[in-house]
Amino acid sequence: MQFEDFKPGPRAQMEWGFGGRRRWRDGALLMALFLGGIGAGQFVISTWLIESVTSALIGLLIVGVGKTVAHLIYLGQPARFYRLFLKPSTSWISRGLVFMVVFVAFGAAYLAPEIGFEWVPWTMGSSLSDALWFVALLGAGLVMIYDGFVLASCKSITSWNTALMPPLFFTYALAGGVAMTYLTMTATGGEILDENTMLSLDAVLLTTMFALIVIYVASMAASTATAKESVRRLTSTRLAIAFVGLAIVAGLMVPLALTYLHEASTEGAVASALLAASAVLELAGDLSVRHSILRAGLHAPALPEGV
Amino acid sequence: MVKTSCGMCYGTCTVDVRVKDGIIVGIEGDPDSPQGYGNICAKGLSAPMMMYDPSRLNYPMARTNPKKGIGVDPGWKRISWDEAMKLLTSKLKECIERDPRGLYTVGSPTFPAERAFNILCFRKAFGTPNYYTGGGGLHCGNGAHMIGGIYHASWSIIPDFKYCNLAVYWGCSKGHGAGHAANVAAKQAADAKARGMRLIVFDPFLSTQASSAEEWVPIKAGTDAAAALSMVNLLVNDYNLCDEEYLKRKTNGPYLVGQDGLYVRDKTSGLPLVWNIVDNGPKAFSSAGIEDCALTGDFEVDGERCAPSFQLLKEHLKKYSPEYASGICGVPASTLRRIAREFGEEAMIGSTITIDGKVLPYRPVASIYFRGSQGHYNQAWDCMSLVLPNHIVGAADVPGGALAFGPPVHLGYPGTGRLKYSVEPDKDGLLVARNWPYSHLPYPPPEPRDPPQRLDLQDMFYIPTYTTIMAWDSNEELWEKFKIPYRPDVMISFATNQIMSVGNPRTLLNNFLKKFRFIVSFNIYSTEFEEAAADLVLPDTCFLERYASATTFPTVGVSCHATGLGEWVWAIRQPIVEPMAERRPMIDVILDLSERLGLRDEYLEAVREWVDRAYGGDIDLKKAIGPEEKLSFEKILDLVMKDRFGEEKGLDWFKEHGYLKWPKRVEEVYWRAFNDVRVPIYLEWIIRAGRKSRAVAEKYGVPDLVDWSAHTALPDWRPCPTHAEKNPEYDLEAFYWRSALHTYSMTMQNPWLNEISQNDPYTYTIQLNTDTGRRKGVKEGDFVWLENPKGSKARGRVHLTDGIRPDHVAIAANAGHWGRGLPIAKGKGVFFNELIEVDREHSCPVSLGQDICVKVKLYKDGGA
Amino acid sequence: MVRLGMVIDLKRCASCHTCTAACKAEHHTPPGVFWAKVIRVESGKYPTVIRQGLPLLCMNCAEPECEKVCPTGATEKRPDGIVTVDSSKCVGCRYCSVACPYGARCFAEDWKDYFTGDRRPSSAFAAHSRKMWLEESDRGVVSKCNFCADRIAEGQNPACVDACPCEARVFGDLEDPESEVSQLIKKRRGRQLHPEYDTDASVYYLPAR
Ligand SMILES: Nc1nc2c(c(=O)[nH]1)N[C@H]1C(S)=C(S)[C@@H](COP(=O)(O)OP(=O)(O)OC[C@H]3O[C@@H](n4cnc5c(=O)[nH]c(N)nc54)[C@H](O)[C@@H]3O)O[C@H]1N2
Ligand SMILES: Nc1nc2c(c(=O)[nH]1)N[C@H]1C(S)=C(S)[C@@H](COP(=O)(O)OP(=O)(O)OC[C@H]3O[C@@H](n4cnc5c(=O)[nH]c(N)nc54)[C@H](O)[C@@H]3O)O[C@H]1N2
Ligand code: SF4
Ligand code: SF4
Ligand code: SF4
Ligand code: SF4
Ligand code: SF4
Ligand SMILES: [Mo]
Repeated sequence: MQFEDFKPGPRAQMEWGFGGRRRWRDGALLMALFLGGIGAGQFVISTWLIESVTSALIGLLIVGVGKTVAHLIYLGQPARFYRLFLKPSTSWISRGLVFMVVFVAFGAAYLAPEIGFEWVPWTMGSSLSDALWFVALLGAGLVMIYDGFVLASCKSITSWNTALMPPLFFTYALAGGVAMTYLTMTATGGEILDENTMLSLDAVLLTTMFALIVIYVASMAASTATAKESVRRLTSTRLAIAFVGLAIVAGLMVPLALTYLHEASTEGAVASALLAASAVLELAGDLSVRHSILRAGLHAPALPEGV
Repeated sequence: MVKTSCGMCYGTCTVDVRVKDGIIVGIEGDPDSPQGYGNICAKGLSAPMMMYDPSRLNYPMARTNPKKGIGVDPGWKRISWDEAMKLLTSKLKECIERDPRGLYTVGSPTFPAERAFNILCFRKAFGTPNYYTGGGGLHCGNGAHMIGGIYHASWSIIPDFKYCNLAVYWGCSKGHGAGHAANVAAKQAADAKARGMRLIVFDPFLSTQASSAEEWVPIKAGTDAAAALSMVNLLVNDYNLCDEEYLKRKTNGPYLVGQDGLYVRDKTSGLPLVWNIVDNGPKAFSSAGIEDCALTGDFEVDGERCAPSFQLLKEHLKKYSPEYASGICGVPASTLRRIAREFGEEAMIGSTITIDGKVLPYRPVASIYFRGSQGHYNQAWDCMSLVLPNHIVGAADVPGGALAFGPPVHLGYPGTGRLKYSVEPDKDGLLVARNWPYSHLPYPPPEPRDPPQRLDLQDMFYIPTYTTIMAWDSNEELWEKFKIPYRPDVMISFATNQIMSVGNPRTLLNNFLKKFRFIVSFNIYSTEFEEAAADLVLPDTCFLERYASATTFPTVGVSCHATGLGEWVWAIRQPIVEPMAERRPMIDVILDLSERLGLRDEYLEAVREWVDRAYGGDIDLKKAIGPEEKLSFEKILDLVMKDRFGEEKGLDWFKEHGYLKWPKRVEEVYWRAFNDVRVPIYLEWIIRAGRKSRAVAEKYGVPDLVDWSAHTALPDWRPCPTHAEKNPEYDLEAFYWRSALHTYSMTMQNPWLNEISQNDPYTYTIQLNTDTGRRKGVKEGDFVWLENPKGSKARGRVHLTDGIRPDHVAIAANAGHWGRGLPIAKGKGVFFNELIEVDREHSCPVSLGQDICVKVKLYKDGGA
Repeated sequence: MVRLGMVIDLKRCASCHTCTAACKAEHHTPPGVFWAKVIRVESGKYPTVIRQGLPLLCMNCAEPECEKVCPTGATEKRPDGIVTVDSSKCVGCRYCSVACPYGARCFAEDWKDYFTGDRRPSSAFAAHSRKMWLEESDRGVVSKCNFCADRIAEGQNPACVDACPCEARVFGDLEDPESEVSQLIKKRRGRQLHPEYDTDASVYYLPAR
């Protein structure tokens, strides 16, 4: 079979995501992006809205351990991991990893007094701690958004090279955070302090995501031939199972429906089961969206206008 | 750095090979050699991957499974060289005792220099007439080479890239990948296009040449003659764009032809007559004082009505109106008209050019054909029709025109005056080639053997070099009738894969190969041929591990020289590294065999004869090599080279320099103006030669051996059997073409070339028109079957393209291997020859070449 | 200042893939790695259809996207314009591969034998290839055409330029207005691929028609 690189038309990127050059192993990069998003999101939601140290810690670990390990699995030369930090002035990967370190470091420092490191010279709620928290939140936010910039920086991949990428990835990360937080709290039996705020936030996020996806697809469909081809693949090839089926229907529409449904449901257990299901679906949708976007990343042909 | 000649195809480019720690590490073109100009191609560059292929044969191997057949595991058993030689010697001895003619020899077209010594000379020494080159009746040239020989004293033609302004290609790639002197032509063609030469390509497929041409004319396969004859008709009858001067002096156009179709001859001298306009009477064509003679008109000589042959051609052509031709070839009549006019006008008839102080006719147009247009039932006349435009406008071997390839004239190496040969006229004034690779000259026609001696009956005909008769269903019956007393006994095959190259593999195997008692093959791989048919396989060296005499010089059998002005080059091949494992150069085995069989003197005599004929000169090898001395190929080479180039230029000199070059002369390149030779626009002698062959056939009770009515004097288009296919299910015409990435079937095992081919959309696919694909519900990349009316099938992956006629389907290269000995090649690409029928109906009645037209139906794999 | 560049004359090119093979032979690139390649572009409807072979290689851009995105500094632009990958610095993140508009970058997990697919070489030549490749590149990193920097240092042309049977490729200094490349670009309206990405590619194409 012909390698992608030799194809005269739009050429799929074969580097990032499942189904890349190394099939499974390249999926580690997708996992890194996914874990980075939801982990950072979980930290933000957990510390901001519900003040759950456990959930925040899990978010932090997902990034600090999960994302890191995924990156290491992905890299061709994991031993040289440290080199990834060297070019923050030009490279979004360097920046992203700096954000990640900042986030993990400050997040850990912020949580330290609560997780057994009482000796640190600050306590939760102190102004120093607030400052740490603020930096951690900033770091988390940047981790949530940088992968959007990574993709958007690729000029020849029209379906990535759009200003929609960072907000899209950011909202997905935040929604992922909500879902993760909800699931963590449910699993640990913790009480969600501000459940209603969280639920309405989720509804807002889901609606935003839906809107962004619609705008994204519409704008791509009106863009270059390569972007149109990306849309075609997203909507009418096998990839549509992930994009339409999992990401849009299961990951957006069903949770949205469930969110409203749960309000109608008076039975508490039923309501929380519905919410948990919705959270799982959202996460699946999150992964699928990222997967679909990576897979639908097509380079413009070398001769876009033909011979 | 060691200089040698590449052997990945017969282009034989001079290359510099880099060796490090005893290993070949790289190959580059030699920038100073005119043979390649320092360029090289993908195949040449990939040679190390062939040299070091772990699937290469390293030891002699004998068959243990007595069963032969396609897909059968031969059960190879490694044996020692000693055992192998004993086995082979005994089989050959038995063969000599039975009848030495039972030996069949087959040689590679890729290694003509080696083939000469390995096969041709040994065959002669052994005393068998039986021989063919790689593809047998399906090889390139039954029609093409012979017509090339008759009209250009050369086995092919090429445009004079330096001066040509309009080249019309009919099924050939010259300068675009395959074809002859591939690299040299590639550069020349690129230069020509950069200069502004226009190229018009008639091809059912948007081939490389068609895609880089000014104009692609998608013609139906096998109909070129109709198109070309309509163009000649227009030139002659409508536009009056003929070079009368050329027709009068350089063709038999003015020769008077009587009612019987034969020349009217002078009573005393027997020479053909022309009508002298000045004294208004007949005169022998070569008489002094003929200032002007008639090309047209009706005359009477001794009471017999006669007309100049040009007049007959003119009349004959009238039926080829563009409209009539268009109905056959699928090209609009207006296109034929336009191209004919452009061709005629661009020829600038009457103009001259001065080169090197010599005033020569300048005819910057060329009509060029080769493998594609000749692979048909009517191939002899197809080729004649395609060469004809050049001879109507006088564009033959003059600046700008169609040039003989590996020119037929060489006035001698300046240092010694050796290697001298030229063309000459026969008594009828017609062109006779003087260094011709095949066993018989294209002209004058040889007398038919009565009865024929060869198993393919080639020697009772006059045009064919090989036929496929030995594989027809009726072969036994024919051998019986022609009283051929012997049968296939031993076959020696050198560097061929007959199962994949000679028509339908099953027919060849069952009707022919299985009849041999013993088949020995010298190869570098165990291919489908060895697996299906060979009893003994001997591991030859590849071209990087052995010597070869003269890989380029235009007389060794293949003329892969640059065409046009420039330099001549004599290059050798030499071992860059010692042969690996137990590989042995075939020539060493042949010398050894000659001694073991007591054929030493016969072999040396055959070599002497070959060398003299091919390289021009004389050398007494029997004297030079003592009777007790062990035969050595190096010694023979040394003697030959010193004889040609002087004492100081022996093998040692060549080993150091790789090649010797010297400038070409205008008289050599544009030889036609300097030699008083004519070509037949009316092939009168075919009538005579055809009658003789027919008489032999009738004598032995096979009156309808071929369709004798095709043995006429004037060109016609005759349909291929497929053109008459009535069943509408078989709606696609299948044909093949050569990929620049491969040489026949032998390079698919090279993993670099294989990988590139997999990444090229054409090489390994079936090319189908996009609309046809849509109509049949076939999508890009689908697997489909092609099936001919007899049920033979080929399977492959479809590539949809707009660059092919909707009623045609193309297969590239000679791929689709299944041999166990070729793990890289196995299962890659599509095997075309499975679809070919080998029989009388698919043989050209004049050249006996194989028709490779096939009508197929196409259906998706899985469905019917 | 010198700015090395290449001109590919599409009128001369016969899509023969010699450049593809020449690069492979010169650099011993392992299976799947093609620093040079030829893609086939077709447009139009039968019978007015045209097809063009388009030889590709790293454009050694003056404004290389790959360099901008590379987080490790492994990719750098030399003063003469060649964009290099220091394989001892590369981590194999392949950001450069997705950012390069020309598909010039190749990732190879490891050297593999062409015949067996093994990490163990199947012949002395394969062992040599392996050695050459691992000198040129590392495992698990990205590599690409470097305009045959080693050959250029020795005053030679890039391998693909020397090999091309149609002499369709010319190499030289784009800054020097007198150089063959500059002259060809000027006279034959040479153009870069995807100028809209502002990569300022150093490979120019001369039109076929
Ligand atoms: N790379 C490479 N070079 C080679 C060889 C090789 O195998 N590989 N083989 C060598 C040998 S032995 C030979 S004989 C020569 C052959 O060299 P070419 O004559 O160039 O051979 P092909 O490519 O087979 O055929 C040329 C074209 O004919 C077209 N064609 C097929 N049928 C028809 C038809 O009926 N009419 C017309 N007008 N066109 C048709 C095909 O589409 C193809 O484009 O090449 C020699 N050089
Ligand atoms: N389908 C199809 N059939 C064709 C053609 C086609 O293009 N397509 N072309 C036709 C034409 S024009 C021709 S001329 C013939 C050619 O037909 P063949 O000459 O039979 O060509 P191949 O099938 O390539 O066989 C060449 C063999 O030589 C072996 N070989 C390579 N190098 C060496 C060496 O150094 N020493 C030895 N001893 N062996 C070596 C290879 O392994 C291979 O088995 O095919 C004809 N048949
Ligand atoms: S054209 Fe033929 S001889 Fe020349 S380099 Fe290529 S394979 Fe070798
Ligand atoms: S080697 Fe030259 S002619 Fe062949 S594809 Fe490459 S650029 Fe074109
Ligand atoms: S072509 Fe691609 S890899 Fe080469 S310099 Fe430009 S951006 Fe970098
Ligand atoms: S793969 Fe290597 S060269 Fe490419 S961006 Fe990453 S570190 Fe830089
Ligand atoms: S310049 Fe050198 S490295 Fe680049 S494609 Fe050509 S041969 Fe390969
Ligand atoms: Mo041939």
